[in-house]
Amino acid sequence: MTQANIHSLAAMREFKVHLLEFADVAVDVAASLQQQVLSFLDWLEHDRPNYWKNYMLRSFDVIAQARSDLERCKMRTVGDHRPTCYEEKLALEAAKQRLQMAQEKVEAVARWTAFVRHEIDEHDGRRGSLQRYIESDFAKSIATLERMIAAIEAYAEIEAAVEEPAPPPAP
Amino acid sequence: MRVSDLTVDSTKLYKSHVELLQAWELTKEHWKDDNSENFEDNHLAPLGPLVRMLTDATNRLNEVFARVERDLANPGEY
Repeated sequence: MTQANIHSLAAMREFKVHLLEFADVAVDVAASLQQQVLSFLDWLEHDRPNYWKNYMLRSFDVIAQARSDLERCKMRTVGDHRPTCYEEKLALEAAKQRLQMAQEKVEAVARWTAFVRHEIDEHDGRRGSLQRYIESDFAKSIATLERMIAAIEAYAEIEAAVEEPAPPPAP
Repeated sequence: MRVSDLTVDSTKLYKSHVELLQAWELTKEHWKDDNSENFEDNHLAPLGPLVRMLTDATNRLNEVFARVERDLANPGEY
């Protein structure tokens, strides 16, 4: 083994630290991604359906109220004059549009859920591949580097012992 | 505020991998032999595609999440 190899020992030790740091980051990132995906699924599969179903139910109530307001308005005649009830008509139309939007969103939630589930499956595959690599192959990489460092350290000790001047002969 | 923002994790993994490769380039200046080449080929090279595939997939999933959040967001009070 050459002197250059022995000088590389510090660099190798430092690189081992980088490998361990990267492994930590990769494991953290994989766990964080999994957690974020689960949070998103919870929002999509529980929060959103509830929100939009409630919105739809509220829309029915608002439409009923708007219809009632319109009917009351139509009955308000002053002499021969019939009110246009413009605002009440607008309110009813807006309420109907909101109901339609809510119905579309309830359907959209179901569509998105199927699509997102598929995308998450794809992502899980990639995440799992890296996670498995870090936990098995990468751990072996670190162990390989450790063995090399240990071998060089052992060699350096032998070299030092050989180069050490022999003690003077006893008087 | 986003329900889930995956960009932080994706960037963190990407940066950490870049730092690892930079550290390896520095290490190679002090360790140039068959062992270092083998180590690079067998232990470091396979990592690149795995990191890229995950960051690409994460960025794509993040875009999907953003679209869904925009589409299903609260429209505001009645």
